[in-house]
Amino acid sequence: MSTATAVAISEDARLRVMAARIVAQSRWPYLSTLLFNLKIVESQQVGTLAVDEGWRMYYSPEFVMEQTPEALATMVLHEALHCVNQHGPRFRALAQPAELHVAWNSAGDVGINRVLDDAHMPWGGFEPLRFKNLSKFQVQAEMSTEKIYFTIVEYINQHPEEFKSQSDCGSIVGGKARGYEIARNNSDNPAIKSDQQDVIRDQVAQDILNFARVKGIGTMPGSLLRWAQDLLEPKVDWRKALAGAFRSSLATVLGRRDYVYTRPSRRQSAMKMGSHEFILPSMRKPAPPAIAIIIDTSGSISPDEITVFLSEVDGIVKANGISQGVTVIPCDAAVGEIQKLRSRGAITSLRLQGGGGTDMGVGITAAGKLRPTPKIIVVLTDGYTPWPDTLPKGVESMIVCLTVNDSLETAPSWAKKILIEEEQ
Amino acid sequence: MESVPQERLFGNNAAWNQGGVMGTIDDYAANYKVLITCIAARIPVILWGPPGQGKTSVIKQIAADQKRHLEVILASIREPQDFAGLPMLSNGVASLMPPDWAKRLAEVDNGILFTDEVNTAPPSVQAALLRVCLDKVAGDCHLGDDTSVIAAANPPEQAADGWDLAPPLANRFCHLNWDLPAEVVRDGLAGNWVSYSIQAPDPEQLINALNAERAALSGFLASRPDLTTVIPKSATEQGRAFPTPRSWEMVAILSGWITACNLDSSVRRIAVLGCVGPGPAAEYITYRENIDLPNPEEILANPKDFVLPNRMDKIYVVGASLMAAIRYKMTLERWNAVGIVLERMATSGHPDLAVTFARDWLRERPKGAMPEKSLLRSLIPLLTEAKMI
Repeated sequence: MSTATAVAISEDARLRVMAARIVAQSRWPYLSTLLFNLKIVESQQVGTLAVDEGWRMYYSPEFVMEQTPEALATMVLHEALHCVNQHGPRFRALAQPAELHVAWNSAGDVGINRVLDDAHMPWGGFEPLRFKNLSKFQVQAEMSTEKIYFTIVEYINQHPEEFKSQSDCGSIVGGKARGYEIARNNSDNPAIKSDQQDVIRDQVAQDILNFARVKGIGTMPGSLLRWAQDLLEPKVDWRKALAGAFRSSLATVLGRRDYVYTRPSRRQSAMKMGSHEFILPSMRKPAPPAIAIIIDTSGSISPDEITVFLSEVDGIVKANGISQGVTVIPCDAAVGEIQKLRSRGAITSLRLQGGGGTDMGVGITAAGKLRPTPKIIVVLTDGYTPWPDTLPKGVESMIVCLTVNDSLETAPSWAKKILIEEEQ
Repeated sequence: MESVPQERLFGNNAAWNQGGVMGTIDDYAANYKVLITCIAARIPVILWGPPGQGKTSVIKQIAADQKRHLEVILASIREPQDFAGLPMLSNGVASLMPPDWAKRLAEVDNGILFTDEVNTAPPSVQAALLRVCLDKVAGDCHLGDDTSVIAAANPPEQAADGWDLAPPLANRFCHLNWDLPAEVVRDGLAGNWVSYSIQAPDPEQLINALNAERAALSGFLASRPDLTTVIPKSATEQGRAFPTPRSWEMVAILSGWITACNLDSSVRRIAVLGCVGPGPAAEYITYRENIDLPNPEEILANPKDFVLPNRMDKIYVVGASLMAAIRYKMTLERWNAVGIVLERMATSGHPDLAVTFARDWLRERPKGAMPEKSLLRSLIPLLTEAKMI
């Protein structure tokens, strides 16, 4: 090819990559900051597109000229998602042999391409790697990228002859720097340092959340929204929150194993030194408190949810050593059959009838009348219920587990409130 | 479409995302440097992590580097009088005898108090500890304001009898997650535990940096007053970092120190995140990043004098702010001024950025306005290529 044609292709190709970036930006404007931070570099040594660790995007001029700007835009978004997902650092953290980066690349690609496919992005004539291409590895779509990678590696170890090099998205997915990469401090296209990449990712996440707030969450891929929420608005898992609330209730209820000055220490008589006397506290460990659980049986909570929830509570109770067991009170507008839970196995055979209106107040009153008086009451409800003004006499702590977000405001402020969120 | 849980496609991002969670040796280095900065700046810092992560040895190393006296106390095996002072009756007067470590810290300058396992101590011990951490007072003994306070805790889900920190205590600390990345352990077992140090800042530089940081922060809070105080809803989140005027003050001090010590922005990111939590931290850092960008009104007044920033994402921010400014007040003159800036973008190697804005700019042109031919000439190849005209 003559020099003149090479230059012409080179210019056209650069124009096409730029056009693809504009199309990509107009599809997912919240990725703008990241997209415009990708430096575009022509390379004769890459087959398609590739990005390095410093976010320089290399392209083969021949390859891009074979693609429409629309299809190329999808590929640019693909590379951008490698950056969002931190595939490079994640591979490094696994401390795997560098040459296995191709397997890691495949693992990352299938997840990314599924997101793009779900958003109906055009690929033109290009066939991206999809889950169906990895079926022989026994890879499942719900696996994490790390899990997919190890599944592939296990297969390769058993069938080394079947493994042939897959496509490579560049050092953005880990492994050693590729031969075509330009120097990190290249003056025209310097690498973006990893700390700056973190800041850019934070900004992209903010843009995603703002976009979702303005345009509605249905307007963008759910996985991107979740990624942004995990990054900037991390939710505490309700199990952790419940365990935390439970422990602190147990700890504060009558000061389980704690020091008190209200009773003299048994060693007090030995504490005299001349005219000085030291005052020692004594240790006190009251009997473990009884616990009552009130379950809203008005119909909005599924039996599965109740089972999951009760096993969680039972586990916590066991871990904290409450020998007294747990009393379960089914409650709709009236109190149902009060039952004592003595083992985990008994959870599934609980009888929870109901279906009327809702009033957790009567359940709380009933719990107050149990003997011995429960020190901790746990309420599981959707929250559409009247609440009492105070706790029954003798009860020291109440944990309210709500299944509906709006009820967080209406539940009493003196209760510990936990939102139980469904995993989707 | 089958129902595949979407978040799983991206793998276990949740753990990766939460800034402070360590993944690589770079994250470890950043966390380590934040810890050093907190100790040097006398900002109370708490390390969250499972046992056996080398927290104590790291702190011993830092204390040795800074030539400071260190006291290590295990809160979970202490009694309340070890922190609140031992009540002593003498001639009818009760006084609170300070423990030996408090005496030693009070006697030396620039001591460091490291209290381990704070969240597994019994409640009365935690209550006593509060005063030590907050007021630097143990019994009747003042430890001195030059003392640095460090605490360590096991995440509640990892400690059998651990629980969340009380919000007032939690809000006094910069929170760091402390998990050793595999790389660090691997090298460490081979006899090479990494350690880091920072250069002590020049006092004058430090004062300037702190002043600049306070100015930036007050500008930020003026534009986002809703972020001044945000109390999280759940007890577990209340036991971590959240924004209050006090934690923003900590942000100003730490970020000022980080500037004065020439530390990179990953250190700043983790420090700010540790004081106010991820969402507000990301907003502040973005604000800070763009604080030196020119005011769009100034550019519109003198578009010919405008010099393009050298980073593409900054040019993008400027472009977006210009578009917002002319939408707010549209005149022919302002619209033409944007055209001049767009042409400059297009001719200095960023035609794709120019096109991104030119689409809306052309669509929203005021009556009688026509773009300059030279601008169109620079945009048309790309507009055609992207099939936008």
